[in-house]
Amino acid sequence: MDSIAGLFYGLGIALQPQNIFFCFLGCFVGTLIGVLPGLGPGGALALLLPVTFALPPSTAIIMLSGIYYGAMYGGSTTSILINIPGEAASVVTCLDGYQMARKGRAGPALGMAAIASFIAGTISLFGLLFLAPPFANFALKFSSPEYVSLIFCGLILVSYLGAGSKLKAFMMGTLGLLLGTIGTDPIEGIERFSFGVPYLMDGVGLIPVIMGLFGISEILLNLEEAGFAGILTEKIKNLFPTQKDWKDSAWPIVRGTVLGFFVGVIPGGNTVISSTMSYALEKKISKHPEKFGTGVIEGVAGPESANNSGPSGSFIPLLSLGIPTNSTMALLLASLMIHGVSPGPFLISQNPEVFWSVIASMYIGNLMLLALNLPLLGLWIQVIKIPYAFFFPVIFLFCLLGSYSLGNTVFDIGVMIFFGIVGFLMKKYGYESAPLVLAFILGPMFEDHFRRSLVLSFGSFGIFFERPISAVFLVLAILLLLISIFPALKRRKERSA
Amino acid sequence: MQKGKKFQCSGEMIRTFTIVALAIVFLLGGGSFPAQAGYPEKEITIIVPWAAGGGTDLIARFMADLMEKDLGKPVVVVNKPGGGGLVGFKQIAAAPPDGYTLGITTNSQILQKYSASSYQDWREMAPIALHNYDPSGFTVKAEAPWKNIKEALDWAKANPGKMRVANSGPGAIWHVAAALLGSKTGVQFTHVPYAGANPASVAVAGGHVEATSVSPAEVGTLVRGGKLRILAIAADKREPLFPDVPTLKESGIDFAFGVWRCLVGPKNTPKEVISKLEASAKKAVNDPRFKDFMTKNGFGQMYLGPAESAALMAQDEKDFEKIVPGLGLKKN
Repeated sequence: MDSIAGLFYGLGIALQPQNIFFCFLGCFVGTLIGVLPGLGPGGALALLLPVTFALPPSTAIIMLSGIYYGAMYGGSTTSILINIPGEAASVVTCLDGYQMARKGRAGPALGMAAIASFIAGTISLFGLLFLAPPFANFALKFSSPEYVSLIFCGLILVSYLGAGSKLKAFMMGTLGLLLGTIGTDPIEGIERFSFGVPYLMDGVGLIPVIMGLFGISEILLNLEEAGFAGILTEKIKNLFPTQKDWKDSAWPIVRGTVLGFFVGVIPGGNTVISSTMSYALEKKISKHPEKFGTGVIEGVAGPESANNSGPSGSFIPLLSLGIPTNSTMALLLASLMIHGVSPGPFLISQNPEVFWSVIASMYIGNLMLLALNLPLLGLWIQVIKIPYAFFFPVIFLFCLLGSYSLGNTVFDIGVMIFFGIVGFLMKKYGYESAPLVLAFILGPMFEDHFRRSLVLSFGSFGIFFERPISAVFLVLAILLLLISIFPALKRRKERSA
Repeated sequence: MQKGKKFQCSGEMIRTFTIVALAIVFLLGGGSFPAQAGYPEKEITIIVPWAAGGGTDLIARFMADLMEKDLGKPVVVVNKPGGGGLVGFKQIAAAPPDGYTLGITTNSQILQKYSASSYQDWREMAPIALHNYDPSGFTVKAEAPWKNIKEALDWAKANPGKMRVANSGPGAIWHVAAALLGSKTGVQFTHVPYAGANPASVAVAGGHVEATSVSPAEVGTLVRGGKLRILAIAADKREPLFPDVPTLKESGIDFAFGVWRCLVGPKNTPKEVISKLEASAKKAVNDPRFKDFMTKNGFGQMYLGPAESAALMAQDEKDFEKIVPGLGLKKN
């Protein structure tokens, strides 16, 4: 079955009333949890997984994936309006989105976020449609050295991100790396910094840390500011971006879509990385990089496209190889298994109804999301506008529920509250949480692959340069490093001259 | 006035309700005190010490559903991941031995005694029903030059340390499996730990390592996809899923080793409760729906009762004691 015939076959299944209903439900819940800070798609998927046990496999996956890409849409709303990322991938949308809102341009920011999301979501699906079948062979070439070079490249890109003090960002990054060393060593199995606490043997949980740093700390900070509501109270007008906005956003959307898609494809790549990379890229190639962080629309359009094309990309290795590229995909993999569908090179031929109907449903889902996010924006704003006196306990409750439900343990709640307090102090003294979180995610991955590479090469560092894909990423990383150092050197020369 | 009266009225109602409810609770509680006669009288919880969606969790949930229908009371699976299972193991062992808190364990619990900083002794638990067994396999890339296990091991012997064997984690069960095979045959492997069986088998398919010791079930999709080839399995009998794959014994290597999953309760769970649970678990395992589910997902099928399960656990402990300390895993 070729891709076009497959798509129509899939549409036939996805348009059945039951599937439309669950697609809508997934998108709705996704937007809601995207809008609500603290609870990300991973936690929501984990909570709702048991609900799908009674459904047929295609319907279950249609709904669960709807939650995932729906959350990507919803996450931007809170980022723009209250400077809290609704979920981790929208962290960078805060940087310019919130500034736009403060300048009274919340409407175009929200509109552009939804439109960019739609364009990216729809275009990237074509990528999934046509690339999934031949993809399997390429992904097999990725081994540990390639991951090392890729993450290295990613870390260099990330270093552009910090809006404030570079030194403080570096300190937070180091803290994140240190935090990532807690738990069982991935190669030799030694326990590090676990102090005999079984809960720490697998390391500190990512989701409680994120909920603490991004959710709880925000609640504490706002409580302190006695009654201040960061929510914009004025009426949001002009959802549709101006002609200039369009001109500024067109290329960032295209670049974000392509970037997000390919980062999504790479195992270990997630929407946090892709949106961060997209922001860094736009800032780098912009004619006015100094304006980033003050409310430029490119800083919203690029990352929002990147985090919406990511899920389509992530489905490729999941479906064609059975490799989950991130924790959300791991939950989707689990639900496929529960329904007796084993992902792999034969998924498309063995379960064509699952493969094609899930893709087709994503076209329908993206349309639904555009409708949910633009005309119904008022509804989501109402959700955010709920007075903080009611809002805080609810966010707090969701965070408690979310962190508890991950492992059914009170320990994770403790971790979340601890990082809530840490995050509160960090914000108060002008330290950013983003470098900490990114280093915390990437550090252990880097270590794991780096050390495994050396086991694979019997100790030779040449492995990183001898392998073509790895070498390409390394050269790219070095170039990026040079480009970033060069202006500084030039400036110094000019000063001394 | 009206409002006040209403409030009083509802207050009274609440009081009445409370008294009635308490009375019912006391009656039921009192009535049920001479336990086990009508076991089970309430919900049963099965602790799975790993995350939802993993193999152990999937099997436990399926079995719980069937047992629930048989026992007539809810059987609920609760995931308590952490510490490579240790968090859950400890909770199972510490639960009141009344048959209402059970759990699932695997031989990784016994392994922790030799590989982790702390562990839970399996003797603090009462085995009920071993319901799954997956042997270790020796799997290579489809295009690998070795036609059979003998050729592969001969090559490995001629090139010490060059045969890189992917496992599912440092000190994990498949790491031990490969090490046991190495010591049995006098071959020196280079063990490469991955974060799970899936990345390990994909690494073989991508040609990044020479072989993997994970189970045939775990490489199943890639084998059927023509990317991988299983040279042998470490079992007494051939695997029904792959009837063409010989056992190591057929190739003259006396080695059988695998991972099992077992339903357990805390030590001192009353005999009658254990036998009731065992009967129900056995019925579930023999149910065609369960068999179908296991086959579909590639899980190996086996059933052992309480005594046989305990014997297997003791045997594993002996094996691990011999091999694991020499694996170079640093226990701190």
